[in-house]
Amino acid sequence: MTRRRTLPVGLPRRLAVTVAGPFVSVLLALAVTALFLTAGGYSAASAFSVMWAYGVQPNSLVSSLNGAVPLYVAAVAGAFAVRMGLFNIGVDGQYRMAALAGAVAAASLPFPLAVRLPLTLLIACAVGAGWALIPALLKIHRGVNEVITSILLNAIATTIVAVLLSGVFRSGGGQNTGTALIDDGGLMPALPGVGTGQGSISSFVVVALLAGIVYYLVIERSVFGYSLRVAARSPEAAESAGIRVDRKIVQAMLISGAVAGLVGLPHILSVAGRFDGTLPTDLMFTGLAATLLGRQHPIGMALGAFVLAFVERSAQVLGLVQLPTEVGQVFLAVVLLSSAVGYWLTERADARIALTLALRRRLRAARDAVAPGASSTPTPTGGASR
Amino acid sequence: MVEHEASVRLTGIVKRFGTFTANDRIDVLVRPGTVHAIVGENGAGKSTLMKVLAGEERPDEGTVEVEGVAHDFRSPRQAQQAGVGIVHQHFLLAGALRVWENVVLADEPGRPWRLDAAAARARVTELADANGFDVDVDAFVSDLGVGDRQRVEILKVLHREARVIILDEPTAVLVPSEASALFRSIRALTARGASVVFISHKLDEVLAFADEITVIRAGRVVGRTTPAETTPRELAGLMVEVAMPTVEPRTSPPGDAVVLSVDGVTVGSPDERPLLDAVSLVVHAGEIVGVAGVEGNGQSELLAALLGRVDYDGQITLDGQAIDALSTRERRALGVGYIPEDRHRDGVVLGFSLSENAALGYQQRAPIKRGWWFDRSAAVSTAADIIRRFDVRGGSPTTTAASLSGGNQQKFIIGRELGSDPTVLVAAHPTRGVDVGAQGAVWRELVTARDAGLGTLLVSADLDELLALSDRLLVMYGGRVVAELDPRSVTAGDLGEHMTGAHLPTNGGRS
Repeated sequence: MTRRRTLPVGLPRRLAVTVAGPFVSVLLALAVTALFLTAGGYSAASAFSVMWAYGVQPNSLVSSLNGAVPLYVAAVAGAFAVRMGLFNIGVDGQYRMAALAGAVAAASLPFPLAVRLPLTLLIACAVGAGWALIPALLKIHRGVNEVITSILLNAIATTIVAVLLSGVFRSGGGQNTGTALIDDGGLMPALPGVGTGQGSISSFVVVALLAGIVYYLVIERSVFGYSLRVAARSPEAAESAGIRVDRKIVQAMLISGAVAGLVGLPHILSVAGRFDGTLPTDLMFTGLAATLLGRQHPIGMALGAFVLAFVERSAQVLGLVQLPTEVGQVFLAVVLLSSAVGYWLTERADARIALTLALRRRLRAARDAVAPGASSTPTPTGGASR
Repeated sequence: MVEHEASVRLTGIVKRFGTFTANDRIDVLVRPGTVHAIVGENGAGKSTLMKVLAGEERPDEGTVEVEGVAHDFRSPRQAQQAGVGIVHQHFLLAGALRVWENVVLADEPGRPWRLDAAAARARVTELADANGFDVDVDAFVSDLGVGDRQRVEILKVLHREARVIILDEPTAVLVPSEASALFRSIRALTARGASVVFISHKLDEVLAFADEITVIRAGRVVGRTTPAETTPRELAGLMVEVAMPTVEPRTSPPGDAVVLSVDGVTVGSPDERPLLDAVSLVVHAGEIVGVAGVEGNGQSELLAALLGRVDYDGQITLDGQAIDALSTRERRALGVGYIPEDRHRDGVVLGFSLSENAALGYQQRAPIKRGWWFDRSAAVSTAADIIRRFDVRGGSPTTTAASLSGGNQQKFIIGRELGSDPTVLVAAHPTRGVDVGAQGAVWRELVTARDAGLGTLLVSADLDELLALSDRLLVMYGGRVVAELDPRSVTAGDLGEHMTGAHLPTNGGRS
């Protein structure tokens, strides 16, 4: 009977632990932002209410959704690596290299949209994957930490993109520092039937949705994803089970890089229409915040990406009412920091709780063993009903 | 210098780890200018005792006296200042630094902000010359072989003016010629008044080089003697304790078909002593072949070679098929069941549910693998089967492996490996760290599988287990199979002699 009482405790506890981390991070971020505003002599309450009022307007919500798309894709790219125990901090360089390649491909491929668009996406994925392959190979052959190499590769990517842009792919002369404009046969169409102009939603929402579904299926439902998770959790167990850990590292980085290759394309194919200086450079860090905030869960990361995009969007209004627009950045920074800390804290709390429960189970088992009549029957039924 | 009766006197040392007592009221007396050997099986408590002496562990009870002064070491540093230095089995050297830099590291001559390189180098050269160590003090440690590295470690200890030098299994990594060079150096040290304490389980070298011997078993001193007063047989009998087997003798004979054959398998880099040296063995269907030996004599390498996790020379055939070119995954798919040495390291993933753990090693096969997909319901039913058939208590397919007790984790692993109907089972320490009840259950499962025709290679450090289960018993020593014994007739002393190499000088190698 005591056994049955523990059953409902298990699932809500897992759920609570999963949700507690992000919740704590967001609350902490709000608190720090409020502190920042108050210290600056502003009213935090009025700032938040202005932001909220602006953020929930239809146009803002659409903009937040469009803004969340690249963040979500970056979050998924990061999550593929995190699930293999890697931190792909090179998403930054990967998406910028891939965005340049995608912009050039979309503008120059002589095919109709139905062929050109998928090809553009594929090329971007390939370039992102290729750029991610370098840290992966350095890690498995030379033992160099992927965080360090991919940070360095980000700097190299910046230079390569600048050189290619000014020397090879630049279109037009004078002040023009962008690739050729992409015609309608290469741009991502808006989602049909939702609105036009400012109110239109990019079809990249569908791409992001697919990325999330693929992520879930690959990680949670495929043999490959299982192997990846084993290799990340216990390399020794993986090797004994016939899973080559070094191959999994390469494969995870390739997939992570391929997804990262898509991060810049919403801007290229739906906003700017070419590769130029307007491509946002902070997509990776905000995206990684969504990875951590969403705890690598496909839906959690989507919520995280939307919350972050919402804050970014709604902070824009603060300039109009003479409040510092940096509030958005402060919020993001604190979320990024606290989601890592919150994760760690809740993991520890979870381990504590699990230990207590295990001890209690052990005690109960010992008690059952003392009364032999009771011990033989509840064990199989308890096991079957769970 | 004042002469003391004892350079080291350990009195009533007790050291507990949780409920486990590693040292139980141990008394040891080391006289000045002598070589004192501490012998015992793995896990007997030798290393713990030496760590207590070297200030790396604090004893729960008892006193440590060095040269007549009682000490309560709180750090290795304090032990060094008292004149005690330890050379660990696994060297702690910086490969990128030169020999003399390694020796003076953390005890550099000169002022705090300036290293007096010339003085340091001169001192190390002088030390090396004085002790007859032929090492190039300017060489990079990464370029040195194991013998030279060990000399550098000893120089480190000497540089700190140690008068009590502890060597933890110093010859484990050395070839015989290097070992004798080491013992010559040890003699030179004792001639100059230092005392040397060395840990070993190799009785041949203990008898050849020690002045006094203390035998430890299960945390207690079970004998004190000198080489002149004892024999290898007597020592081995003291070290190794064997209880009576508790498994029914088998009624049906093993089959004739060879399911696993290992032929001349060698593991190791060419310029060092091979970790596994031309090992050959066969396992028949329905037979349990036991592998005895003190740990670190090639058993891990044998397991790794069987699984295809290391490169090796030689041939391994499974059911008549050569598998040398196959990956671990392909070998597992051909029916190599594997109960790993360390279940937490490579037997289960602790944070995974039992259903996910039931798939471990079988993820590339039906019913778990369905096309690209991981069949979760198949994993759940596999786990439920294992739990039911092998009486795994306290878990269901959704609970994590971490929430099971050690014995039940082990039963789960054994159930997973036996449940897949393997061709051959490679079982390493299947009952290590499990309680007596689970041990009985595991033994019954292994015997049942044997009677159903499974060939098993059983590597274990538990002699009771080996004697109870094995049909034939192989002994590994120094990376080689040195004896094949009949578990029904072998005596503890005989087995102990083979395990410790005491047979080697008279017997001349393999029997």
